[in-house]
Parts: sequence; C-alpha cells; structure tokens
Amino acid sequence: MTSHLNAPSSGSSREPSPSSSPSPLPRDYGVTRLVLLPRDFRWMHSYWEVAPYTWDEVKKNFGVDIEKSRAVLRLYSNQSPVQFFDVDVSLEARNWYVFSPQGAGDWHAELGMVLPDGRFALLAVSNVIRLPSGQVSSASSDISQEEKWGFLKAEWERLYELSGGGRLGAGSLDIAKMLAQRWELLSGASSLSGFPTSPGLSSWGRFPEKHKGFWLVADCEVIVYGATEPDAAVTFQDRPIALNPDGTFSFRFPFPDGQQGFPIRAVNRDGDMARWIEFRVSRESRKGEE
Amino acid sequence: MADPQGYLCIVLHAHLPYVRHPEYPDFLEEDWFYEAVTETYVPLLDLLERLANEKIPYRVTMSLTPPLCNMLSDDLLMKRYRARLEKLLELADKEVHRTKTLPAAFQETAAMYQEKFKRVRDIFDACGGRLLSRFKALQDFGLLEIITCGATHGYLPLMIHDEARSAQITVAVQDYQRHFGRPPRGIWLPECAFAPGVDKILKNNGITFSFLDSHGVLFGKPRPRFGVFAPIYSPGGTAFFGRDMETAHQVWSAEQGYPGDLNYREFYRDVGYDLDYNYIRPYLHDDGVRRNIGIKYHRVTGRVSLANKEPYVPARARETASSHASNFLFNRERQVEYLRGVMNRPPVVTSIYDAELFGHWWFEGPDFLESLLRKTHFDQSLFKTTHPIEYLQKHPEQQIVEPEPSSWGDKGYHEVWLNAANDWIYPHLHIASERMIRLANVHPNAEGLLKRYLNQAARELLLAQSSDWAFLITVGTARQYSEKRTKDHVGRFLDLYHRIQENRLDEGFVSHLESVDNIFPLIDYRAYQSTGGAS
Repeated sequence: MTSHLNAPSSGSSREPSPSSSPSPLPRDYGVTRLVLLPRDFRWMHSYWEVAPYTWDEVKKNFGVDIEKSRAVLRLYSNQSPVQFFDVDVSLEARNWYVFSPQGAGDWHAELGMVLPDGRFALLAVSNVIRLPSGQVSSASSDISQEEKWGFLKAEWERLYELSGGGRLGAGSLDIAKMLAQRWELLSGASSLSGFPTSPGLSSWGRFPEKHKGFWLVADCEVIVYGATEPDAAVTFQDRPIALNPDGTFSFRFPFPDGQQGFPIRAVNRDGDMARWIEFRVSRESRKGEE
Repeated sequence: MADPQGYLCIVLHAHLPYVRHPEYPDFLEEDWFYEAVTETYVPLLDLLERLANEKIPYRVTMSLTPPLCNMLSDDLLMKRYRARLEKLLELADKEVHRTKTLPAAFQETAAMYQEKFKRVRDIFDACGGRLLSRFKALQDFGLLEIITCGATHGYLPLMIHDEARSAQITVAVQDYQRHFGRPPRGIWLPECAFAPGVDKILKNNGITFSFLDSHGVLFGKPRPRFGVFAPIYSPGGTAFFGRDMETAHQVWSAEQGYPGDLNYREFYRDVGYDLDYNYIRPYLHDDGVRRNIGIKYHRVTGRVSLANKEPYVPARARETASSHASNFLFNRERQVEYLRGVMNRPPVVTSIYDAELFGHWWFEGPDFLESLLRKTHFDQSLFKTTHPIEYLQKHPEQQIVEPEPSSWGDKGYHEVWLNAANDWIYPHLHIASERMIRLANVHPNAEGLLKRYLNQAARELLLAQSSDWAFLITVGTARQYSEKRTKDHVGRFLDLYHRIQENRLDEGFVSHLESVDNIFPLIDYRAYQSTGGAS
C-alpha cells in the first residue's frame, strides 16, 4: 500500500461534528500485566500496568522494605540453562525498550522490585516471544545440518549471494543498499536507454567482491526516555517533541563520536512551571586489527 | 514444448485500509481508494483481460485484501466512485479543448487521459461496478491466482493472543469465499510479517502457500539449500516463497529502478496545482484546497525543479516501458540460466510488488507489465510465468526450513510498526483482544441483539488492528487520521464490551455502528473462540 503518500491532509474537508472526536482511551485498565514484544533481532519492547491489588499484595508480603526497593525488568533467555539479565526501569515510564546483545531465541520477562537484601518481589510475568536471528543459520551449531550441507557448501554460497545476502548479518535494508550498489553498477554498464545489453555484460558476471576473512561490526546508539504530564510542552535539544497520550516519551538515535548535551525541558499547560534535566554524554570509538 | 528451465512468479499486493465515511458527503482519505481504482485496479484488470482475450497463457498472483474487497463491493463507495469518475471525465474533456492551442505533446497527453478515463468508465459500467466479478473470472480461467490477506491487514507478530491472530485469518478466509466462490489457496501475510506459529494457523485455515521477504527464507533454520529460488515448507506445514531482491530492486528503486526513467510521467506535477484556480475549483474537494487530481502533463526529465519539467510524450513513454520489459526479460533469462546451472531443479524467481506502484506511482507500470507478459510468451522459451500452486504441483518435494521472524518493512523486522511514535497502540489492542476472546468464550451461541453486539465488537477490534494506522503514524502521513481511527475503533469496542457486560443492549447504538463500520457483513464473532471451548 503506497497510495497514502499522495494524501496531502487529513479528514473531512468540512468541520467535523463534535461527536466524531474520539474520547480519550483509558490510561489504566485495572489489571496487572506485563507484555513483551519483539522489535528486531536485538531489541524487545515491553509495557506494563501494575494494578493497586498487586501493590497491596506485595506490601503485605514484603512490608516496609518495598519502599527502599528499585524496579527492574528481568529478561529471561529461555535456553538451557536459563539465563537472565536485569534492566533498571522507571515504573512510571510504563514501557521500555530493552537491548539484548544475545538476541535470537525465546524470551520472557518479569517485572519486579529488588529489595535492599536482594530479594525479588514479583509484580508481573510476560508472554514468551521469539527474537529473530538476524543472520544466516550457522551450520556448525548442528552436526546433522553440517553433514546435510557439507557437499552443498559451495553451491549454497553462490545461491545465497544471488539471493541478495552477500554479507552475514545484513538486514533487508542493508541488502537493499547492497543491491542498490549492484544495480548502479549494472545500469552503468547497460545504460538505461540502450537495452538490451550484450550478453557479456549481463548482471550475472558483475558481483561485487565477496567479503573475505574475519570481521566485526558494532555501533552504539542513545535512548532517551521519560515522562511528564500528558498536556505538558516538552523540548529536547530545544526542539519540541511529541508526547505519547499518557505523557511518556522515548526516542533513540545514532550517536557520533564526541561530547553531546541532551537538555530536556518541560513546561506545564499553563506555562507557569518548568522542569529540566540535562544529560552530557561522550563517545570515543577506537578500532584495530590484531 | 520442452519444459522451461525456470519460472517467474509475479506477485502483486493490492491493499488499502478500510476507509468509508458515510457520515460525511466528502472525505479526503476516501481518495486513496478512488485514485487506486482509476489508476491501478481497473488498468491492471484491463491488461489481464486483454491478454486473456489474446489467449496468452500468463500466470499472475495477486492479493486482493479483505478491506479492499469490502470497499470494492460497497454500494456507497462504488456510487461515490462513479460520481468522481464522471467529474474526472468532465475535466478530461475540458482539457482536450484547453490544450488545443498548446504544443502537440500536451494535446496528445490530454487525449490520452480522456481515452483512459473513458476506458475505465466502460469497464466499470459493463459489469455494473462489480469489478471483483471480473477478477474472479480471470481466476476461474486459471490465469490469475487471487490470494487473501489478514482480515484487516493486522500485524500478526505484534499480536500476543493466538485467537486474535487466528481470527484475522479465519475472517479473511470466510470473506474470500463470499467474493470468489471458493476458499483461498494462498495468502499475503500483512506486511509480509511472519512470527512462529502463524504457519500453523494458515494450515488450520486450509491455506497452502505464502511469501516471505528474502531474509525470512535466507535466515531460516537450517539454511535453505536453494536460497530464495525454491520454496520452503515451514514446520507448521505452509509453503513459503522468498522474495527475489534483484527483480524487486529493478522495479522498486525510485532512483535506479525503471520508474525513475526520464521519459516517464512525473508524479508530483499535477493540474490540481498548475491550472487557474477558478478553472480547477469544481474538481477539488469542498474545502477548495489545491491537491493532486490525477492529470499530469510532465515527465521526470531529470534532476530539475518541478517548474522545469519537460512535457510528457505518451508514445515515447510507452516505448520506454516496452524496452524496460525487454531488459527485465533479458535479465530473467540470464538469471534463470545461471541458477539452473547450480540447482538440481528449475528455479522460481518470486517478484513481489505493491500493486499500487503500477499505474498510481509508476504511471506506465501497467504498460510494462503487459509488455513483459506478452514478451515472456512470444519472445523466449527459457522460462515461464507460474503460480505458486502450479510450481508446487510440479515440484512437491522441498526443504523443510523454519522461517526467520521477519517483515518487508524498513530494516526487515517490526520497527516500522513498533516504535516510540506508535507503541502506545498495543496496550489497547491487546486488552481489546483479550476481552473479545473472553466474550466469544462466554457466549458460544449468542443470538439476536447480543449476537449483533458481539459481531460488531469483532469488527471494531479488527478495524483497530489494521497495520496501516501504525505505519502511517511512523511515516507521518495522515498521522492524525490514523491516530483517530485507532482511538475510534478501540473506543467503540470498549463501549460495546461494557454494554454487553452490563447487559445494556440498546438496538439503536449497535445499529449505528453497523452502518458506519460495516465491513464483513457476514462476520461470525466465534472466530475469536479459544480452541477447546470456554475459558
């Protein structure tokens, strides 16, 4: 569906009747729940609601210590043996994007409070999701696969490359970019006006050099998140940002080397109260071969 | 004739979200549908019928999604469309007169539009506006394979209830039967998005095949022996054809692909903006704001400003489309030759495109496709076009591979539909799904008014789930409208839910919603029942 892009503006060209404006959706549904969603092969998204009945129960079980606890999202990789890691969260944010260096496989999460003595007060358990692998299946991880594929290896490499995957771990966007370069090459050779090309210049003889040897790619990005009153005006680096209907916000962006300041400023609806928070972050990248 | 060395499987995905606003006489977003009928759906139908009449045995696979089928069979929308078409024809007639004193290129282009719009009207009127019946006829001839999609193009990997995923498929299959007189054999997964378990739902609904983006197959486990050039069977029992990126890029890329050719029509230069305001005013919406109308006189020209675009020359554009078809054909021959040499079976190259690319964005796209299908038949014998089922019948033995969870969106996974701009949608969709499932389980055999309430609740949930809303919020087009649609449908669902729970069943209330959100007239809310009965 691409036709949307032709839509210059929205709605009826007449004034809408008052009854057609949507009533706001509930902020709470009165149920305790934690939901985990897959975003890609490294990122998960979770959101939660903790209903008063759950707080009552936790307070009953853990007493006043709960006041001194911190909220964490505990991510379980459902492998054998089971592994988990914790992410400190702000309960008020009500949702969180979680990065998993490990990625691929089945995951679920628990939302809870870690008490000063290390005990974990469980608030909610999520559904189970599967994260994609983001790469070509590794034959060596499974002996039967390796045997099955052994005599086909060379053939596989060619087919894989033709399929658009000349690079391990490439997402479809990368593949598209790679193919774009290839197409540039092809169109340069055949020129769009002079079809068809002579057989000697077919696209099939002109693949880019295949990646050789060992490799490593890595990058880091910044995630900024927070919450305020839903009707507040918020700026980030002096640019206005849109809040979610419940007053939360979060965004993520690439982060080049150097030092950067991330000032966040919120002004209330009446414009007579403001709060600000600023983060200063620096990044220095180095790389090499050994 | 000897067996071909390989196959080309052309797949066109035709979809628009369900946009229908009887409460307004004039509604901007309905234009998406009206424009697509004139520029894409009827021109595609026309060329497929023409080739059929010439007895050219082509094979094309096309999804006509349930929302689109429901719009194409909706009396109100089709009546409004017919009136719009008449206005367009009126303008086209005026344009023929207006351009009489202008250079020949303008005259030819004006005459081209007049002829094209007349052709659309003839086709539309000849079947009484029942365009789906003509697509069905092509399917019955074995030339076109029509596949279905999620009931409202709901994004399956971000649903957390099996029942909700399953209802998207079950409702779609039932609706398909209503339009095409038999169950669908294949499906286009909404946004080509796969999650583990979806394949089993497809199999339970009698669906044999579907499609994945390249990495959905390539990153599968174990590694697929033939890359994307042979289908795989998922453990759940569905055949998946992987998208070929070479052909995708040749057509898709705006800069290097065919549609960017200098002779092709420039999309962004439109009479809606160019002509005298009083002259064009009767063809604009009620608010009188200048917008695209669909008559355009300029060609891509090159990297120049819109003001410096040169006149469009229809004959030259058609020749270009034909030479691009030759080029595409030539490249497929080389591709098939090469692949055949390294595979122990004929390869299948699966080329997948948004149908709306053809005609709407790429004005000459239908000419290209017609030329390609003609040349494939007459000019070579190395490969043939095929349907997925036809290929599977000839080559039933395929590798079993567990697909990679994936989509055809930017970056290949779910980020387009799940990011900071639109993630607020999901808590509401999930709670609504959970409540719908509970209602269906608690009321396994509802009748009368309660049944109407339950059916309408299912419609509202399905409409809220359209992936289009999350998509449009991300790209920032029609964002306000998409947010409003999400909130409206969830809000209506919650209202229905509370009334059912509190036994406040007022006929007037549901009757109003049935008339506004009238998709799926035959829906059965029991699509949401959990397997094994009440929870």
